[in-house]
Amino acid sequence: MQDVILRIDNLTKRYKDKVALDHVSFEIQKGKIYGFIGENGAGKTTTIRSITGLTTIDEGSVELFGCSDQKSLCQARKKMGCLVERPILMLNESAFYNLKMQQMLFGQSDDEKINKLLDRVGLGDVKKKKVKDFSLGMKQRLGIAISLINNPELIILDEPVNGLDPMGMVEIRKLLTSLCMDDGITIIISSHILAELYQLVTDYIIISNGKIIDTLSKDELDDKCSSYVVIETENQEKAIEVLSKRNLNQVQVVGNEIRIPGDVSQKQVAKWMFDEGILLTTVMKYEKSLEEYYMELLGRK
Amino acid sequence: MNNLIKWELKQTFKSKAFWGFAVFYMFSALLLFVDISGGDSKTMYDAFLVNMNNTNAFFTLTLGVFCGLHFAGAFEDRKVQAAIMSGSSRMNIIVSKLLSFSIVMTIYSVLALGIGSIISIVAFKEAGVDSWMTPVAQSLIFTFAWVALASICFIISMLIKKVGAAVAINVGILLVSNTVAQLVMEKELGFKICKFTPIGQTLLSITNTSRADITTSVVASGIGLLLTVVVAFIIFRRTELK
Repeated sequence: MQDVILRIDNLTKRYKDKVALDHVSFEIQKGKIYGFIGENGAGKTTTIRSITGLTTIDEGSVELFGCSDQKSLCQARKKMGCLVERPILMLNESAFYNLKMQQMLFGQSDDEKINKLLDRVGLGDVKKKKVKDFSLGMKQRLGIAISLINNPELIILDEPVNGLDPMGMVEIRKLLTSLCMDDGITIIISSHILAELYQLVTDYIIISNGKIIDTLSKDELDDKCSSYVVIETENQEKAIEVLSKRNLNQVQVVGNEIRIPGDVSQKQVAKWMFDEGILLTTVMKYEKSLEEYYMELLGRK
Repeated sequence: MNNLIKWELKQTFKSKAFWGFAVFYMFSALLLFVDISGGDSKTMYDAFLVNMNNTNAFFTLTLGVFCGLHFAGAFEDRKVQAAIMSGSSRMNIIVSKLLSFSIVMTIYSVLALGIGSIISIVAFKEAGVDSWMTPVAQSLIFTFAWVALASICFIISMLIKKVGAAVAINVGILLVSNTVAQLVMEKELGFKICKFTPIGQTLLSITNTSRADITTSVVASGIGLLLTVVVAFIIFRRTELK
């Protein structure tokens, strides 16, 4: 069993009459990248704010690195880096100075480390430039650098690719993958950009209306999103017979469609049908994306 | 805690607000030249008291602005949030904020009263007071009482968290409380009560020297500061931060 570094147990948070988090429970294991998915107002940021100490909780507990009481949680947070909603930056100061100040909060003073971090996030050349002159992507990258200044074991990034151009997204993705693979840092990312998350994360936590509705690994998701070939023909019965002769007994009939799961190609299916003299009006490969799985989970099409 | 205090002080001394107000209070002390040329002051001590009165008026009018920028600004710029996410406890944040503010207040007080005192010494030959300890004690009472009095702005700024509104309310509260205290202290009973409050101590230190004493001042201001810390913690421990 892998190390659990963060355990959320029955977390409940209310804002007057509104229940923002309703008995939320999940675990974060060391060395993985978690995608925290949910629509606006689902409770992602409230959960993150509960972990980071920005908000108080009404019920349940947050256990970070084995610490769950207030005092030890503060100590545990020193092993964590965060970027919540937008980076906290001193706009009239340089990137270097921003990191220097953050280092001071942890009682460190290491200019070399700052330089290395700036190089790593691609800001080495502009370290003396005032942050107010930075692009959105550069600010996000500086925000990530700030979250890394204390050599964290866990980083929590709330919408880190928000507002980034495609190049920026790729850079951030490469950086985060390297942080996890090379440095062993566990990462939690909340994002709306599901396609981007799919390329990055190893596990998913899906939240809706303040409740966790699914937690699954990438492999489990791939299984659930497995592809199938869709064919349409006026001779459905004969087509199913042809498929069963080839041991494809798991076919599903949905209206006019016959869905053939498994590792079969369109070309193969078309050839089998052609050989048996069955006319196909439609042949297509269907692959369910994370986005579609998510929409299905939420009961929306 | 040490790291947090260093971080807090570094930010304070780097801020334009701190230097802007420092320069303002230095120049405000120069106003004493106008009073001296008016001819009301005859001794160093007279001029010293005039300067204390001026400083008190400037603090009443403008300190609320600095407090709004310093305290509410920390919430608006999410520096408080940064400290929490870095593992600082909320109590430590309150203490470090008030400590840095106390240092700033002492610097402002030393600047305004110090420059005024130098002008008084240069302008007059006669001391007008038996011991130089008297103005020193008054200055200490004044500074300490102002630290405690202005710390109320911390609570207001923490509740409001927006610089503009915090500045307006801080200035309003300092003005109103100063005016009310002056009126109340004209009555004997009011005086007896106000004497044990930071605002009473600020007014005593500038008006009625014979009835001011350091022990009462330290106790009154100390209790005022302690109350601020307790109230601030009660509010802040459940404050939602964005």
